[in-house]
Amino acid sequence: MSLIIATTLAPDPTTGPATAKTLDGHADFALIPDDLTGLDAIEFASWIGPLTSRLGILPEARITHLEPFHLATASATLDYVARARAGLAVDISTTPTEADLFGRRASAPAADAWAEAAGVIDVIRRLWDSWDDDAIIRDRATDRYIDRDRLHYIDAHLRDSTGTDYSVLGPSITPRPPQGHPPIVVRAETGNEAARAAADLVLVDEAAGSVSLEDLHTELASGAPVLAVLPAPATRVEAAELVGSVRVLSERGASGVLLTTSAEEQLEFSVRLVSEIIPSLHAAGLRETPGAAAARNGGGPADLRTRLGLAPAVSLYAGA
Amino acid sequence: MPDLDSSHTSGSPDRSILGQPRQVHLAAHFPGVNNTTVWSDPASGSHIEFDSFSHLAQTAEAGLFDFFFLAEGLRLREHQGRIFDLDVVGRPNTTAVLSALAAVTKHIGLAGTLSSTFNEPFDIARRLATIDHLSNGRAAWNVVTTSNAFTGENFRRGGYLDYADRYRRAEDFIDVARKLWDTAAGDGAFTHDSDFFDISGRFPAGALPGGHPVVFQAGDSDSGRDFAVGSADVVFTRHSDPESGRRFYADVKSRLARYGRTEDSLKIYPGVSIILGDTPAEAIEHSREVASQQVSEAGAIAFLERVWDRDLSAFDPNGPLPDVPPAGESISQGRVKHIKDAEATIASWRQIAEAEKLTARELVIRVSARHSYVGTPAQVAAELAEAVRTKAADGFILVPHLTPGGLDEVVEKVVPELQELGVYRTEYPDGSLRENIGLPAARSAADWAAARRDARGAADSHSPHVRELKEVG
Repeated sequence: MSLIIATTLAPDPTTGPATAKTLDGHADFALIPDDLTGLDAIEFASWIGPLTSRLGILPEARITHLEPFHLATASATLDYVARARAGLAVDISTTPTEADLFGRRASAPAADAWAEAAGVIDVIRRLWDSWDDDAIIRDRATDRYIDRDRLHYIDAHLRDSTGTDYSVLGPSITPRPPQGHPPIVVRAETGNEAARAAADLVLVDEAAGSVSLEDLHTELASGAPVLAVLPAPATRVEAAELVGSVRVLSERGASGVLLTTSAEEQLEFSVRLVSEIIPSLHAAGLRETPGAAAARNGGGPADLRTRLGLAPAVSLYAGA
Repeated sequence: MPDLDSSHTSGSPDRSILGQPRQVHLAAHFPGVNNTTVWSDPASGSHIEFDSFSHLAQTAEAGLFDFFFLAEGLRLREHQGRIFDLDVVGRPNTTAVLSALAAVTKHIGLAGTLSSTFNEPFDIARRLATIDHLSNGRAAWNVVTTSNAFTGENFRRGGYLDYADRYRRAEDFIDVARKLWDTAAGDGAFTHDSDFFDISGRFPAGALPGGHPVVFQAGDSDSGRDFAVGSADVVFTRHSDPESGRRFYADVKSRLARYGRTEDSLKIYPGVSIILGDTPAEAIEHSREVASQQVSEAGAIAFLERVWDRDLSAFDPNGPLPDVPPAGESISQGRVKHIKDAEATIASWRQIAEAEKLTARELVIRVSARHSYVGTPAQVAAELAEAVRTKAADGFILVPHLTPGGLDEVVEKVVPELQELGVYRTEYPDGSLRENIGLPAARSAADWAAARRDARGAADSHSPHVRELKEVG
């Protein structure tokens, strides 16, 4: 039994690096929120990459007004700079306020934005896979740098949240990322079944929404791990109580927890997490120690997919 | 700043008694996806692993360079309808690499190409603001426009932009970005309603450490030059030889006054290559070897095919130039075409090949793989200093042919020679990338727009059809 422990990491340049370094080697990943009011999460994640060595780094992207092509190359690049520790938390924009920032199209109901998001997740995976792992050949006999038969046009056709069709041809400009597919995370909410079915990891905030761990357990054919979202304990007493809550969530099917905190509190919380909470989880037998995990991975740092218990990603173009 | 005059009293003849000689500035270009970059050499490393980017950026920083420059790819190049496979293929996302480099460098500027066509102003402005915050004022943006439907096939918008509107939209795009950066110093609230964009909302608050990211422009046409003078801080030019550099420099700088700008407010950096040797003869020999690596047999034929615009695979690269006329259709996609008149170009190449008894491949080497500065470190340093003294350039963007070690030798050997000449700093100035480059403080978006209106008068009035453009999905 080893539960996944993750926290949020607000993109704050002042507390971000120290928080990330505190979490590094202890928490499994940090999810960097992005509600379009602060710094860009993907850029911030790319900055955190070289400052850490074991922490998974998952920036959030509200994809409704963004380009799938840029998202695919940016997340692939993050996987290179973070040495196979990248992921991507896919979310949507639904408000007129967010639509007006971009000025490209009107806002749309969540159901329509999530329908597009499910398609965008597929396009991002296809772009990641549009280069076979062995596409770069540097063959001096024929002067060829790549074998172009190992690159793939994805020719994907999508419908955006307002009903306009568009397409993405590919291949990606960026070779396949080290993990193949950096884990994609989707927060479960009413009406996003298709998007969460396309994810590697699902978040559920039972206090905020109408989806329960039991719902997801029966629904997710993929067997994707599900993390329960909880507010980070604010006091030592709450931290002690967390172990009991986590045990109950685990018995109900959660693979771990994502603890949410704020820019102001994240550094202090990260210290409490690694010095009090995670040792308590070890003591309670809910999480294996870093030593045991390292031994299982042959001593070296595992890629994020391995840390999350995900199988290696098979290319959608394997055998093509 | 240390006192350069006291440490170098030997006195070069160029030294003005009124002050120090014009200073040389250097910058590093990550090797690109064209045949300048040699991938077949054993010393050629990865073009995608982060270590290659950090190595080059840290080398450049050790050499006190102004900035590291990364170009952008948005679609793989094609040749005769297939992905071109002879040059390096594949690049990372520009801004993600610059953000990561901010974590492993302290002083060097982080410049990247980002298309204004396949991005939205809020997104680009926020990415660049993020890099500026993470790097403490070192972000720079090379603005390009992309009008072709070929690249558009990877994007929501597709290819739609009339050539004539490219620069107007790009100028407006930069204005919006600067307006957003201006608002970041206050509460972030903005609105912008123009021919091209209709956006409003709140930009993330927090004044950018560099004021505004430094804006680069690389256009060469008359309208490209006006675009640079009207909107850019730095020009990245192809005029690498000092003679054409001086003409370009004088022309661009002469346009500044009309826009209310001083000569020092726009810096000109040609992209150049440097090949070194311990003796002049060794350097020339080294240049020959590198040129030969840059033009493979298959690469030579592909080069000719791009000029002839037809399949030439039946011809021997080690034989004479193909004895067929050009076809006049474009067989290459995803590159800027620099040769406008194929017939005249081919005629002059035939003359050269005949006079110098060159094979097809040798001719391609002769016309395409010329290196800008070839010599001993002292020779190259003196020539760079002379080009700056005679106003062929304010600085140079060095384009190495090898990843990642292609500038190691320049930093180790040429930089000390430049310092010895008293034309190169010995430490970074305090402050942002603007101080590295020697630019004045950023001026507001409103000031830029007003200066352009004054300079151009009524000539810049709206054309009737552009209103439709922003409606396109």
